[in-house]
Amino acid sequence: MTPLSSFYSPLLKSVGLAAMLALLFMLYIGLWRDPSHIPSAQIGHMAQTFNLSKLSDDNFIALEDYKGKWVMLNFWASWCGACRTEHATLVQAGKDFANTPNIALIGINYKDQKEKALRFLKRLGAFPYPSGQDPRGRTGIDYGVYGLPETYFINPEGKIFFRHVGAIKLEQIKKAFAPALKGAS
Amino acid sequence: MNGNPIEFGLCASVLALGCAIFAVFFAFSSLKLNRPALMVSARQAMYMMPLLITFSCFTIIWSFVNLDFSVAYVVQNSNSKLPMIYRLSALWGAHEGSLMLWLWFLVIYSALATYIHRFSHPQSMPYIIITLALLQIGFLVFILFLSSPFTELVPPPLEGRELNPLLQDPGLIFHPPLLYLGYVGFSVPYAFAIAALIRGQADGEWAKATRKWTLFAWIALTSGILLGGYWAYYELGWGGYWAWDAVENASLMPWFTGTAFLHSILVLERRGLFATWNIFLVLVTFCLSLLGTFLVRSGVLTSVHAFATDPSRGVYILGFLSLVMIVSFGLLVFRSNRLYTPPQQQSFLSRESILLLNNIFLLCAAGTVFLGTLYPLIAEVITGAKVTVAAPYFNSVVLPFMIIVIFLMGIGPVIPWYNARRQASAYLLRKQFLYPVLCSLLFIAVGIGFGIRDMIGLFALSAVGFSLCSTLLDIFKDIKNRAQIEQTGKTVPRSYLKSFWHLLTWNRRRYGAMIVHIGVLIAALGMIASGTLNQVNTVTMAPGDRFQSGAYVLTFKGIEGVKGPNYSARRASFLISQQGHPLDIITAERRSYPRGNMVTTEAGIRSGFFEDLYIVLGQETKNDKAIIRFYYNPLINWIWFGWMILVAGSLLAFSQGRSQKVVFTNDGRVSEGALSP
Amino acid sequence: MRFLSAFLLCTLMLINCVGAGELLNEAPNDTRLKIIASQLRCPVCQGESLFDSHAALAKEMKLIIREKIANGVSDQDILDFFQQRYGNYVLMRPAFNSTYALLWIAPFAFMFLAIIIFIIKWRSHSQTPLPADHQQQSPEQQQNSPN
Repeated sequence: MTPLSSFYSPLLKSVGLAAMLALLFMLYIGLWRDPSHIPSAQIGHMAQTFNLSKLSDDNFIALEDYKGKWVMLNFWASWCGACRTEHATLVQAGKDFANTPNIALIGINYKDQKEKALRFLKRLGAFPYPSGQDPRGRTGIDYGVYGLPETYFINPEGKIFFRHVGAIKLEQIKKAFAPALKGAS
Repeated sequence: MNGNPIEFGLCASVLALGCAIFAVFFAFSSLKLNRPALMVSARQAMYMMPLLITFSCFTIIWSFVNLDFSVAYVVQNSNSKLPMIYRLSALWGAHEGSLMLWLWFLVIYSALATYIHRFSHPQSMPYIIITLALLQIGFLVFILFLSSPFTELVPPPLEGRELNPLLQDPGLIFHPPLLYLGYVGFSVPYAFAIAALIRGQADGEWAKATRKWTLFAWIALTSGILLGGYWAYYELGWGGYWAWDAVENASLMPWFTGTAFLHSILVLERRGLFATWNIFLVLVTFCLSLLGTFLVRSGVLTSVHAFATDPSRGVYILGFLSLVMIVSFGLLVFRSNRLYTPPQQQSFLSRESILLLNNIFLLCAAGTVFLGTLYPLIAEVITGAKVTVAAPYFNSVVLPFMIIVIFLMGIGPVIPWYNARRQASAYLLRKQFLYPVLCSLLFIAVGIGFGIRDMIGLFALSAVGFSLCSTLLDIFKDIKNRAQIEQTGKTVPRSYLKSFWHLLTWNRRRYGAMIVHIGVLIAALGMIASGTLNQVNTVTMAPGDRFQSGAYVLTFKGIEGVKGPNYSARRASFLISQQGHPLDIITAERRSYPRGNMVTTEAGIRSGFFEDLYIVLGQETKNDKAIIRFYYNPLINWIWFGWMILVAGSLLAFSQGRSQKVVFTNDGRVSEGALSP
Repeated sequence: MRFLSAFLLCTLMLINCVGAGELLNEAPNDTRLKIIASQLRCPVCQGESLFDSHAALAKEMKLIIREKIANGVSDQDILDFFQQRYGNYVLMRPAFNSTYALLWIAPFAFMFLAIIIFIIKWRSHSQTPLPADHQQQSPEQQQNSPN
């Protein structure tokens, strides 16, 4: 054993091997993740207020109108393909929760034109709940929207507790509203 | 089966798989049965591989040239309007084809290595062939079963898709092949290293054998990276050449470790030290090359370069990479104690120690790039948080390490190898480094004079000044010594010139290396100047408006619509004048590619020796104005000049044969060496 | 097409009577926008800064920055505004906080470790006795050896 080879002690070797295996494992996990998915930075924080003109008439819709309720906020647009996929689900959810007083669903038409949005609703069926217009996308930026569709869930205290990116399913909406339904009954 | 050329290509690749399996089988049998004659068959199998794979690649290129839309790969990457030159290079435009390119280079390198060393390393050859052939099998299996460029579409569509407009550029023709020549080139030193580990022998002889392979791969990798930067600069239109993007980093990491290896190998060759460390560096470099291949294709990291993502492919590559890493480092861990190193006396003030410091800092740089690139993934896996690690981080941490390496560049070649009888004394060194230190202060002063206030920029300038002066002084001192020896009695300048020529041709390795160092320093100057003194300005202009950039005045002349073979564009023209004298007209374009549904910008660049004027056309506003972005990049072309000098120097060093004068053996003895190539 | 022929140049010079246009400079607000936008990452791009990005979302974010600059909001407040909404992800420069601690410390820790090990090992090896016969070389031979 020369002095030089004693440099590479068993400790160094095992640490090296362990680090290598950890790296490979991490890369494996990374394969199944979507690198472009950004988790919401506002979970647990107060939702930003908004006051937008409604899509259906000339009135306004504001978040504080729904203070004390469980709110689902869905960002959609006529140019968004995946929004078509979830449209039927949202309409159904709107009907299902129409008679639950402490649950409210709101749509936000993001970076869209009124005529195109209305045409979209005419073709696919109107939402049984109101939508506000966000033509510049400012409200979207306030919520940290980076792609459509995105759905936010707000509790009666006004804090965001869940965000879903992509087309949402009915079970996911029901699961998010589970505490609301428990309280209601 | 309808006799398409592509089907023959597929057959050839399947045959190649068989060939590679044969090679492994015969080489392995030759070892186990102790019958060297079997190696002949193994070698012949290795020689067959390039023939088969070249034919396969040729059929793919043929399908592109003939627009054979029954081939899925052709459909995805070309159409009838695509210019011919991009059809030829479309082979490496997407994932499947680029893997074929990797394989193609691998089989060529393997056959060359087998041929060149067929007599000189009889005991290592079986292991080398087995290693290379197993790598080939790994790639072939992946290509044939998971990423085939040979799949056909029935019925064939009438038209193909558009090749990404960003890739329709001369840079694409050369950048991937050069880069892959580098990545794949490290497979030969890697195979040698595995052989050395298994046999328990890595000494100066091993170092000499792998030196040229490593140097060639290094030249190719350096050129590939710099060409990529050059291409990004003039094609992508953001005025820069390096974004610390994940895929760029993936090519930089093996470059750092490859450069470290290129330097540490000198110590092994000269003094027989650091055998295990050298082998470690080779293994790491090759594994980083493979890791780079993985990162680009797997979808693990976001990048502008990434190929289309597909987890299943990622799983295979990761599996392959894991196997290579576990075998390589497992061998290293369990066999390194076999690599006998004779006890040697050492001193701090010796070239060996400077080279080791060089390695330390290069590895710190590589490690930082590695950490920064993978940190978003690590953070997400452990905490679920999404973080960004981008240029500001890398610039703050990696650049200082690189700057220290530049300092060492000026110290190492000047300090002699360790010699017990005549140790380098601090006093002598003080004399030697007086002028370089003064020069470094001078460079700092000049930098401040030009307005640089950035600490890292000034630090870098001092390093460049130091090393430039040190290197030039060293060369000059050698010329003077040589001239004194010659004592031809002729006039002094001619004698100096003759001495310089003599040194250049007689000791090509050393002077090649000095020239490479000078090239690096010039490129570094270019990077420092364009990084610290550049200016970016965004202005809204109407036709007739002028903008001043440096000593130049740019007059906006107007915008017109133009049409290209597969795009339509808005072209803006600018008149560039200096002190009232008109110099040139530069155009910048915004191109729309209807088929690819993409908009690209073609920057208008006026390249000069001292600076680049770089113009990007933005959106046009309603009142006939346009938003223009002007970049002023001082000395940016010195980067490319430095690169040329670097390549020249490397080729000079490469050209030297094994031993022309004397051979220095491991224990420091001097003996005459055979004049073999 | 970056360089036209001299003939074309002359022709254009002859008709170079576009009216006296303005000599423009980058507006100071644009300079501030440049600085701030370079420190933010475009959320929908592959690693581009807000300044370099042409994405629609990036444009809107830059408009917001412009408005805030006009309203006198400080640089740090503008960065905080976006960090609140998009998280750490949107900052180009990793902050010096717990999330990024490893990132900043590791490289330098590793460097110090390596140097310390280098010094220790080198010092211990310089005590090793020499082999018996060791030939001397002149300094020039040393300098001119193959590297």
